[in-house]
Amino acid sequence: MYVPGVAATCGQATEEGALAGPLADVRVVDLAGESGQFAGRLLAQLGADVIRVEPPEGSPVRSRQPFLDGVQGRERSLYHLHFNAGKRGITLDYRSEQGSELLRRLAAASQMLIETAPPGEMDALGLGFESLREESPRLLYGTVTPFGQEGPMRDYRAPDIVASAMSGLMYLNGDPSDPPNQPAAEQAYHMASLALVSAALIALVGQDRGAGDGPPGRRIDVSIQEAASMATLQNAPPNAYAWHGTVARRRGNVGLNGGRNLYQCRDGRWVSFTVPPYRWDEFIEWLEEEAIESEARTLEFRDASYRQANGTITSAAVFVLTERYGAEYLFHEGQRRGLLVMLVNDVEQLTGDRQLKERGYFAETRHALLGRTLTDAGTPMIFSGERPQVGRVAPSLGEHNEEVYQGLLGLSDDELERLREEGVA
Amino acid sequence: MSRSTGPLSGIRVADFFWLIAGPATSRILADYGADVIKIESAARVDQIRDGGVWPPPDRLTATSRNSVFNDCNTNKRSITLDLNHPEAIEIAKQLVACCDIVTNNFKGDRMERWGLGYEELRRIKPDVIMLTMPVMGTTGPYLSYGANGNGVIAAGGINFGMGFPERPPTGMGPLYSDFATPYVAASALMSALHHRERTGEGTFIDLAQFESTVGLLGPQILEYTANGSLPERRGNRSADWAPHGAYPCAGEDRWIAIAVTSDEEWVACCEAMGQHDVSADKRYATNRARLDHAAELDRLVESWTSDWDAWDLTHHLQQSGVAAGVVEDLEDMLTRDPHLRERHFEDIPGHNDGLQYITHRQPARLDGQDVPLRRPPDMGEHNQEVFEELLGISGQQYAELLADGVVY
Repeated sequence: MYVPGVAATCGQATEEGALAGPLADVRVVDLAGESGQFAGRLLAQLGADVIRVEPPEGSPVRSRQPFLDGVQGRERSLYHLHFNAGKRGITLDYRSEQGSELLRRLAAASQMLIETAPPGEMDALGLGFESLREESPRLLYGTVTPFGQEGPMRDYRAPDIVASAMSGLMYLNGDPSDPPNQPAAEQAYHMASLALVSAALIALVGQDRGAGDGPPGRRIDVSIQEAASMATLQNAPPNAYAWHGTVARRRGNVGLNGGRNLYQCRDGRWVSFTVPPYRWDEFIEWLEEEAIESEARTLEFRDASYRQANGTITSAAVFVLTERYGAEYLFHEGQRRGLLVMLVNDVEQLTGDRQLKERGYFAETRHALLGRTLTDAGTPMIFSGERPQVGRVAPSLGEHNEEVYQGLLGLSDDELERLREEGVA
Repeated sequence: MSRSTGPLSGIRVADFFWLIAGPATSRILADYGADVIKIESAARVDQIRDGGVWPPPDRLTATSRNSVFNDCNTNKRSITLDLNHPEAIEIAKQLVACCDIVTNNFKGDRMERWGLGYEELRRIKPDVIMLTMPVMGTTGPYLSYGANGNGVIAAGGINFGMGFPERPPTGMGPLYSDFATPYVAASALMSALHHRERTGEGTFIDLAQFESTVGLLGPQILEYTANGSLPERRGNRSADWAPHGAYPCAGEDRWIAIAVTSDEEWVACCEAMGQHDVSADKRYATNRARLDHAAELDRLVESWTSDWDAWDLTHHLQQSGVAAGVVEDLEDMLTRDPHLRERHFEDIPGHNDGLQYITHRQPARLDGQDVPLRRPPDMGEHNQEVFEELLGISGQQYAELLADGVVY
């Protein structure tokens, strides 16, 4: 069992002292920019040895906000510290001839490579899927680009807000009287990274099992636009347009059941409150116990389609409850009655959440250089009772150069020194 | 029916998932070649078969009417077992013995009460991989608590940090976690399969949808635990760059998203919009200066975009080196976007009535390993095929199981 603050027991400790998850034998070269960094983070949580490759001057990601204590510095970006947690880090100018050769050697010592360069750029450097395949026939080569490797818009650029817009995801968020709203925390990037990790691991299992013909290496081509569009399927079903010509619009605080989605409670906190169709009787019972008069208590409302068409009546009854009680009470009492009531949590509330704490969700790691213990989201699953622990903070710039160049690639002291002098590493 | 293509060919899944997040997970496996056998029952119909968007009344088939059900269940087979019947449990166990993976998203001890808990299934299939993914996970004080996708994103903290300042929270419209968690779950399953291939060991995976959603908050948790600060609601502004937002275009509710992330792009943006004076204006020359004037810049950019057609402006700005894109609605996605219609959506024939429906392909292409899409199954459509092929149940036995209500 995981005990906060105590070294976890899962898996065997690797030579570096990190605790192994199910991917302990998998090495990943991580060249990703901001759109694909979450992929390496998740792979590291699953136990992979993820080696992040940065240019000698450091990745631009290190200048993303917010900064630790609000103070800028290349080791202080919380964006970097979050997305690169669990990875090892080296510096390498793979655009140079010598650097390119080193990257090829690193790829040959790895099972997976992740990159987010514009389509064609890695090919031009001689580091594309086809060229690496010659010496690394098993390499799984993952690419994340805004629109995929092919197609008329493949060269278009798309930071998260643009990908979010063009995926259809953004149009559906917010109040109809406001502009469409970008989801919090760069969800288009997250979806792309998730699509990449799952497909790369599917390809890995295919390799394990000898599926497919020809060389076992694969290119995994992820379009951020497509990945983010997955989240629109229920609110804007493509067949609603194909069958009925209906174009879904953003609904503000109106849920799919026609009623409200979020309610502010007596104590100012918000809840998400849904009465599932199979718990209608329990909801009515609650209204009766609370002596809340409502049309919802009439017989017509026992019919699901009638309820759907009159969602605002149900909402009005819920309003009486939420005006009467605080959020925490409604959460537990609603759940006790089988209704789908959830708190709208902010981050402070999440870090104090009993469920997350008891399940050992949060990961604590010590950052020696900064002299701080960092508490962040942990590995999002438990394997046979053990939650894999990464046990390693995001790498400082070039932190693992010696370990990787000498330990893994077998360079001599002199060779490494020369790389430093020439600005390659 | 044997499936010969795809990296997961030869992997079989006993799929007890229902609703959305679960079936969307097993759909991923099916799309890459796994044989996913959906186990359902008329005694406990997957609610998603009944809800949502239906075809026009004259095109209705007996089942599989709902668009989202189709999206989540394409490429699967379906069998029906009434698991309240002891013999159905016996059949389910025999089926598990032929499978690599068992999935469910029930909360509480539903599978254990059926005698289909992990410990029991291990006795039948020692290296079985079992995924249980209720909202709250299988342990902890709230393990029996339920939620729909709206509730999970609310609880998971995504709603809180988005929206416009001074406005009540509306959060995300889409049931986001229902479509993000499946990729976390598929990654967990593949990790366990890889582990099995190496060690011969099975795994019980406890995946809380709540936790996978909290994992999508980016640096927000660190920002609180390290700096003590909560995320600001910024609307569409960025803490890092300006201008950054959605700007109105010609027509009703038409918008373009524009993100200027460098000085060169700013100059390119001004020039592309014919704003030479602004391009040279020192007040906006650096990103820092632009961030300080973000509100002013938003009004300025709005005034430039509002007469443009959103698609024309997208192409014009992108070709000028500016990251910009239409805030696409469903009609854009299906009729105007050159990538989504070509790469992402596919028409596949439905049932005997010839009704076509559109479904997505997976957003990750694996070189040369495309698996053709097959329409979602009717309830119990593959009963005889699965029972005979995998379990050796004869036609006579099948008729008895039907008559006894075991297959139902």
